[in-house]
Amino acid sequence: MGAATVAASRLAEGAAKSKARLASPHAREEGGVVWDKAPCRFCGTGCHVQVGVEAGRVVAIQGDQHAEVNRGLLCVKGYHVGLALYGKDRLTKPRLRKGDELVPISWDDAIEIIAKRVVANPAGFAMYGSGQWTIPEGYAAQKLMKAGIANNQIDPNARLCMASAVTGFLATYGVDEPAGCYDDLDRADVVVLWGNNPAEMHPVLFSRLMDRRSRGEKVVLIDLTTRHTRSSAFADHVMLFKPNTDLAVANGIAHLLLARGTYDKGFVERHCAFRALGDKPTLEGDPISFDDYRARMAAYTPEKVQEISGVPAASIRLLADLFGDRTLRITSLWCMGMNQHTRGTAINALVHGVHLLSGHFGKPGDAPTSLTGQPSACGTVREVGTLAHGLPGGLVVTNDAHRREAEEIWNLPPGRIQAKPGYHTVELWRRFSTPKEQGGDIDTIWVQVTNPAQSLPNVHALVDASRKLPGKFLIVSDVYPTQTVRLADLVLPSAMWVEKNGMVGNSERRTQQWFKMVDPPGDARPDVWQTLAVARKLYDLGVPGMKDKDGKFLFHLERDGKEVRFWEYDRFHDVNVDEALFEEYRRFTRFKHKDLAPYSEYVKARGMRWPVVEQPDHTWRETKFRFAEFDDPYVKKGAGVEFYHSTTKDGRAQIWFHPYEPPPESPDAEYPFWLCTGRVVEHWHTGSMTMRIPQLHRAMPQAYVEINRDDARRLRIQSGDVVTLESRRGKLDLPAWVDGRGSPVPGSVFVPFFDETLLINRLTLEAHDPFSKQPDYKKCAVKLTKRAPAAGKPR
Amino acid sequence: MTADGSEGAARRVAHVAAALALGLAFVGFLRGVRDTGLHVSAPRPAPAVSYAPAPGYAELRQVQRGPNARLYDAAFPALSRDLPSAHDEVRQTKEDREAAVGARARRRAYDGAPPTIPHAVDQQRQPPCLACHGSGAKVAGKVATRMSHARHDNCLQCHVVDSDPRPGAPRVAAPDNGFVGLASPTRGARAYDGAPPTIPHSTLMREQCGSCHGVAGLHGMRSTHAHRQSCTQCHAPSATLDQREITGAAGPAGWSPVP
Repeated sequence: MGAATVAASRLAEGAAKSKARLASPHAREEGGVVWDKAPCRFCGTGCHVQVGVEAGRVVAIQGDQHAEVNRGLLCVKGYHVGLALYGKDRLTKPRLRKGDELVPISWDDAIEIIAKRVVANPAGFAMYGSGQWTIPEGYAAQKLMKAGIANNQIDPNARLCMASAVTGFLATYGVDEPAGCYDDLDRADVVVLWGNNPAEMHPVLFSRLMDRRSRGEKVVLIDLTTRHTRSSAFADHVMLFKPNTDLAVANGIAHLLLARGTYDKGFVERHCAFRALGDKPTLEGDPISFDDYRARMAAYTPEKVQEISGVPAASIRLLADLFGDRTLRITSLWCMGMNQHTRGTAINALVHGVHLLSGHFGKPGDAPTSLTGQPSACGTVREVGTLAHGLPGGLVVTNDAHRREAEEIWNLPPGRIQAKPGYHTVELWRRFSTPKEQGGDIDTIWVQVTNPAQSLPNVHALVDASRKLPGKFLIVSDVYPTQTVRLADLVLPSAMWVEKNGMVGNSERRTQQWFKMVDPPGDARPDVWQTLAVARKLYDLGVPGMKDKDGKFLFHLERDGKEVRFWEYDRFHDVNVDEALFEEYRRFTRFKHKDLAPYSEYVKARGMRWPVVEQPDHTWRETKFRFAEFDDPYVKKGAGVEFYHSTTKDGRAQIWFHPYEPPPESPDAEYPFWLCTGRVVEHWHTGSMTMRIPQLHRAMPQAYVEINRDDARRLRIQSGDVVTLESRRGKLDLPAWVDGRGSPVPGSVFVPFFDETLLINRLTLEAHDPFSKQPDYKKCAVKLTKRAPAAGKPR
Repeated sequence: MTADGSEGAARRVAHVAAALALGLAFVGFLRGVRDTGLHVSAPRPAPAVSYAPAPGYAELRQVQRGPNARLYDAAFPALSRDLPSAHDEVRQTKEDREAAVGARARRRAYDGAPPTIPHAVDQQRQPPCLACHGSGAKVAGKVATRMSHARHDNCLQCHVVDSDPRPGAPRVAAPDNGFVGLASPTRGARAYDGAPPTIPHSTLMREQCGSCHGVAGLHGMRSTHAHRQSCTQCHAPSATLDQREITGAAGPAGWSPVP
């Protein structure tokens, strides 16, 4: 019996057993192990793994050799991703709070409880999701909230993650997501890291770049940072700046390009216009002249920038030398350093501006590229638009024409979709944690695939407070008893990763697909089923929003002329619900030239980058470099570069001026240290998955506070001592690690946020960017006191 | 007498001269050993450059390799001389093989997982892993295996330590996880008695067979003929495990697009 036949018979057997296993063209078998492709569950890099399944359980992982993103290599999290399914405390039953206990209930009861919360107060019902929603999951939730319950109260944790990158792209190009892609890393001569530590956070991309050196290629790495990290160890130039002063550094580069005349005059004249905030600040801003722009940048001399940022004037000149040299290819990378910033939109726009001004744009290797932290921050949040103001495909609820387009596709009566955006994340949780009579008009939040009780800033005020208020009801769908699950009133056990079908979209516009490979434990069920089951219950209860204009169920699905009753769980796997939802969603993607191919194309590929455009021979072609004529089919012939979604409708991108301004909270006599939070290579986000993987847990079992050696010496703190960290919002005891995984600059400390037993977000600031509403987790003022010496003996 | 007298005077002069010389030498000695701080010229200005303070004793364990690393770097080639010869005769029992497979499993979540690091490493800078793992070394029964794959510079991307890297950290129990990893295969398939076995595992990230099967490998896994270099001349890898499957647009037999 050939391997393929064995695989096919095993697949058939599996399908017969669970009615779940869908045939995959990539599945292959050897020695009793069936291997199939899936994107990794963790970060936004979007590596593909090969998952080995034996007797219904994941037993091994390999890097996928055919994946362009990772070319067979993974990071330590990716190699251990299969273990994330098997933590001993997986949630397996729906549970309802009775006093201090969560008691098991049936799925039918759970779905009914949710539906009744909606019926009781539709306006006060919200969904809070994440960039870990698969595309179909996010699309179903989006449609339920925007078209069904129609209150627009849906927002994702991605608001905490890449909202400023979105506003930066919108303000500059008029449309979201990077123009370049990972191929830039194979061609760039210079890579500038803007407050970014890819050696730990996007290790596979970092190796893709750094391994070029092993092949004898020259790659200049410049690390603009507030902390010496593992990435710094590879850098040619480490430029340490004072927190929040990255705006001054960007302006310093622009200043020198203008002063020396080394900016790209031709590119700027053909493709750019200039913008600044007017008296009434808007995301689009007000036009300014080139002379005005130049005059405003005049103040940012290298010496002035040195004074503000602490980066030596010579380093600013070095950056300007590089950007002024058009024979080089320069790629900028950034992630949370620029996004979790009260001036996040501004610094994003300024970095795009430096690239546009210097003409380092639109050629392979020449690109400003933002990285994402979640597997589908782009695919689900940004493209499906699961934000309080968003509609699928880059449309927004505030635009009359956009609402009409969405109503058309969803077959809704005109006026169903509301024009008023829902609350953004911080506002949503603030209202949930405020008594009704004091304006707390959100009384139920359904959380899926995220852990806000650990990841929101100032969690005391935004989450914990709601637990003492009558009438507030927290529903959480998750796979493990996270901090949020412990606070919930109703808990729904979810299927994760290869326990369900899925699609996600990574940082480089790549849409990826996988099939269910194993069964979820106990009564755990996919989030998309949970959402659709609630929608159907609402339909059965006669909620009018659950019908389209012809009176059919909002999620009506037919096969061979018969309605598919997928809301009954034993019928859910009769059809591929993911495919049905995706094919409907796909119609939205044409409006902003984010074209997606049919589902079946993604089944075959290790992902494809949009716009994916059908060719005359009916094949589908992906686009690597957007806005560049040589690759993007939507650029007019002869234009070279065209920004076809320009905010000014003339094909031009906007080069912004934003001044440097001091942050909302700075260290002072009482709270003399900067606190920066972030991640480590072993753990992903709140650690709900990685902290349950022994290999990752052993390598980094606990959070810590990283202290600069000089500060530690002065305060007589040694590694292992317990230190109390206190901000104006909360305090926390943490073990100290002097110059640990990184070295913060003197006067600053660093704490990773993965550890639910040491919740650093009780200290962080909820101050946020005025446009993106993204909070700043990277800067607040704390004081540091030594509480106790090291508990254990030094080893 | 005169003669005696003049002789005595000369001797006296000589004694006085000798006493004077001794005295001067003594004073000179005293001056020499005395603190001459008062007499040195004005202190030199401090050099313009500042030096990082030397690490304290408590911090020494964190400083992995100081400026003297090159002094002991030279010792590595000598250490690797402990390795057996590739021509040594190898005799293995079933128990040896099981012991070797068991030893591998202790450091890996499943066969093919990147092994964890059983010793401390620099957590911030790039540790010099290749000093030992570049060619393999053996010291007093402990083996630093040769890297099994092509060079990647960010070693800590895939390999992590197997105990808390933070000095003075309390022990925290590892989480309970029910994952059962794919076991390492014990033997490849043979077409007939005496035929060279096929390679029973993936060769991805394991293309350097000598890493495990060479002279620095665990005894139970050592090749009986480690001097031979071209392993795949006789031992065939698996196209399936090495992801060399051929899939057309329509997919292999048995697959049909989802309706």
